[in-house]
Amino acid sequence: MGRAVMSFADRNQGEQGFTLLELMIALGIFAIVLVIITSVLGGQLRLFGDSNEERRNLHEARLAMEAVVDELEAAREDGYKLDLVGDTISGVKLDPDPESVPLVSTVKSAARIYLDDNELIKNGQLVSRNVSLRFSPMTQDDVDLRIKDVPIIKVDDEFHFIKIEIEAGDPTQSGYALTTIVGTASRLPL
Amino acid sequence: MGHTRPTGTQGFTFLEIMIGLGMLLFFMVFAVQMTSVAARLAADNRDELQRVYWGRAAVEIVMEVAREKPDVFFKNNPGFVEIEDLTVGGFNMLSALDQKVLASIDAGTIEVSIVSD
Repeated sequence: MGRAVMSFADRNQGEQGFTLLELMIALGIFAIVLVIITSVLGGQLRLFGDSNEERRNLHEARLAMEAVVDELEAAREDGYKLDLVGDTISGVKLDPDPESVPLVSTVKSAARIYLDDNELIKNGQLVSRNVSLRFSPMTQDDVDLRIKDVPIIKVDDEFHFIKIEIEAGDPTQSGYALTTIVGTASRLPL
Repeated sequence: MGHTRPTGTQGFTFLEIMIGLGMLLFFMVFAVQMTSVAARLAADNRDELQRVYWGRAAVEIVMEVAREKPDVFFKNNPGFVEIEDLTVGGFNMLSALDQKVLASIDAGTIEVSIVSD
């Protein structure tokens, strides 16, 4: 304690203290450390922001995919055969009375699921935001299936599949894309 | 005695500076490692969800083909078959799935399952 008091007293008398060079070196080291910390911290914050954005997009894409797939499965369980007309998947019930029902559409319509300004609506309720849908038909040239000792089985025109692609956000950045394939046949017993 | 400063001088010894820099380096490496682990976990999570949907698509396709052509499908193995190749639009689905896809038929009931190797 006594030494500290002496030290301050000495400094006041001008006998001790930092030179300008020492201060400049200290400030320089401090600035370098600050720049390093800031860049690391900045990178972490950017990554954190991207992760949050990606997680949000993942959540939106998953909700949208589950809503679409559930709807199509429910229609097939009800005896509908699915068809792809333009950008709309609709169901046609063959038995007992033919009935066409729009199920999923990428344009606002009477569909039970539709996309309105990148918002997916199901039965009037908002399911997910910032998503886009794309439906593609799978033809006989698209699917090859091979089993041991059996030639490649080609899917023919009697039955086919629809590829569903859902994007949330921009997949080239922190967006998220999901793809699956659904069959179109009715789930009623053969 | 190694930490004793020379009489009348102030400041850090060389050893103290090295220890300080080492700790700083350690924490920086630690922070970078944590960042890369977090990024890898996020990528795994992303792949895992898409794998779930590839699995779903594989079951869908195998089930439909088996229902449509059961005589061809179960010709050589009436009870149980393993899918050796499933290509959709040039895309190898089994590679993406990284699991086995099996199908069986029992009294007209077709079952498709996905199992780990």
